[in-house]
Amino acid sequence: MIAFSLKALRNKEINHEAGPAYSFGLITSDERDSIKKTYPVIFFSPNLFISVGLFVLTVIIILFSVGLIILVTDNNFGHEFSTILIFCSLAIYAILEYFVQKKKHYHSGVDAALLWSSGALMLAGWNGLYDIGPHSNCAIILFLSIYFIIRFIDSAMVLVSVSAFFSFLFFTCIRYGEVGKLLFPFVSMATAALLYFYARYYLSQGGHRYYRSCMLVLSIIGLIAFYMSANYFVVRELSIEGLRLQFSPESPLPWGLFFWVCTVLIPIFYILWGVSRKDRSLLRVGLLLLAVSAFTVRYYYTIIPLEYMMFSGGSVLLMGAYVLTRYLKIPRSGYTSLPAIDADMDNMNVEGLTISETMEAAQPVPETRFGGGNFGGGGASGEF
Amino acid sequence: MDISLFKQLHREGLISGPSLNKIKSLNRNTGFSLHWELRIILYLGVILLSGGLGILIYKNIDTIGHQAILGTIAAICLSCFCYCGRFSPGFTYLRSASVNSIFDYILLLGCLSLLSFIGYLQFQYSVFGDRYGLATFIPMLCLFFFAYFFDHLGVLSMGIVNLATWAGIAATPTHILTDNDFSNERLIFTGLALGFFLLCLGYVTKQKKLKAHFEFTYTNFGTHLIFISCLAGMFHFDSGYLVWLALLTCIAIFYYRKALRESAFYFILLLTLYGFVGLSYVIMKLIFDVANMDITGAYLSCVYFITAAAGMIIFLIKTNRKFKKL
Repeated sequence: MIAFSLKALRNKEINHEAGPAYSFGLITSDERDSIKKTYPVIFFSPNLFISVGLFVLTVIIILFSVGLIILVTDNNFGHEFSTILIFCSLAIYAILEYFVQKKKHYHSGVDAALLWSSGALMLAGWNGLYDIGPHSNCAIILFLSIYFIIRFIDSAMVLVSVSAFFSFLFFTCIRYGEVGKLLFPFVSMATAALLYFYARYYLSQGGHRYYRSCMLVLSIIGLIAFYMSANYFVVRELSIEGLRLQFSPESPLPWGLFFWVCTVLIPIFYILWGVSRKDRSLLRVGLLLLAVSAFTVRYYYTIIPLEYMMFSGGSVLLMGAYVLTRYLKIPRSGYTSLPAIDADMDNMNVEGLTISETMEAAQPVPETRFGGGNFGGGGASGEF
Repeated sequence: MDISLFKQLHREGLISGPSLNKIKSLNRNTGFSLHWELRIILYLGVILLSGGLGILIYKNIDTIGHQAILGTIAAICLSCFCYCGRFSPGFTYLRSASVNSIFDYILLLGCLSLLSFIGYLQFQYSVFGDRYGLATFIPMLCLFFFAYFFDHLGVLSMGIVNLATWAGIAATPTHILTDNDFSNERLIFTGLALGFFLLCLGYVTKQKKLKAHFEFTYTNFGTHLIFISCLAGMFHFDSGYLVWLALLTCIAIFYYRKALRESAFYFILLLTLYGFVGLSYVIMKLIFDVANMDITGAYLSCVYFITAAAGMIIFLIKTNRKFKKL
């Protein structure tokens, strides 16, 4: 099923491991070269920046080609138009196969642009031709994205796939009336947990596995989806807006206490579990979700004014990080606050840019006396 | 690292015994590094603390005395700089060894509160009077001084943004396009000049080895400024767009050579995308304004975009190959 040659994928992975081993001085340059010679990489996978450029330019070509075809055929956006879109989608898919198989493009930006636009055009065309409800649309998206994942190992497609799957579940649950609506959060939690454990099981298997990158994404999305299924705000808003459950805005959510407990405890559980298992993605997702939980609590309960919360929260975070950094200066039971051996300068540049973006302190502006948030960045935005 | 893979490579005779042992011992010895997680927490801590402090002052400006506020900010500021001064490894023109993450963020907190302090002084007591330039110039000098003295890229970026503010341009990455009025001719030329100045600074920084690792920050800000100002000039001045296209070409060629020297993929991407925008603008202008075509123009522009983008793709692929060979 995979569009790429399996041997070539294997060779790529071996070289991918040998690269860092060489730059950390673990293997000699002769050894690296002999590995390269025995396992040659035939793929065209350029540098990240180049592939970003290739992606953008390919999208431009596709847009204008489709535009040109529509111009030439000169139609009035009816069925004929939708047929053209489907035709374009198929043509783009054929080009994609050509680039992958003949030109050996592998995650080069070109293949991603072709793949995503082929899928999008197909979906648009189908919707133009037939009157498909949201339920069937989810099914089509799910089918297409899973096909693309399996054939082209596209890890970003995993996000589309999982979203489509959960939407599909949602629309299915709705069909079963009030009981289904009440059960949806639990169904979705169970599904997310299953997806996560499946991804972990896949990743823990030794040997060569082609879908590692996809499964890593799946495990992260699984963790986030599990939390989101139980987040008080999400459940409540979804119940009011999407499910049209009959309860007034003031009245408490059914099972409300359970969702509050989940909202608070799941991130903490993730962090503790991540630290004890030394699992970075678990830990980072936990930290991110802790911030989401803080916002959720803040949304419903104003215990103290925002500025006091920011001030004290900031102090607590600073203190905690200070103590931990000092304590772990010497590695203790396998944990350290020192940078990992592969930490590089790129991260520092990104950090510098983020700081300049988010930390604008008071600027004495002539006319506006304290207009807007002139002091400080105004709080943690969603940038992390 | 995948130990079983390296074991297999060892069996195949591709890597020697000592190398395999090195890899094995590395896998055993390195701990689980919490470095970046802790840094992000420190970052959030600083941003929340200074933000909260800002709102606190803003809301209570009438109830607490001005001296009290100034005193508090000054105290925070001084204690931060005292801490940094105590643990600083001393000034060097090379890249000084990072003390630790705490040091970096305490310095940042100090700089932020210093800016608040100066801003507050100007707001309440107008120490700089009507010389608003001075009120941004002095914080800028402070930021650059601290950036160089304590070797901090974040503070340097803040300094550059401040320099641009002093010159009248919003240079924060996401505001550069939204907060600037690029139909203002003065702004366009200031942007060009400032971009060029930053490029020169970057060049000198690298050549003279004065904190050579600061070069990217200077060049990055300079590059975006110079390209955006150039495009703004092209869009603004109706008649002279061919002159601006020539200027854009010169800049692009300059960057191409620079990127070739340093094998910097990032700058290749920038020059391709900015160049593409400029070229497309001129071609569209020629088709629709000068030649005054209507539906034929639409066909022609589609054909242009397809061929030009294809050309750029070939250029990118060829450059990528060239770099890989270097």
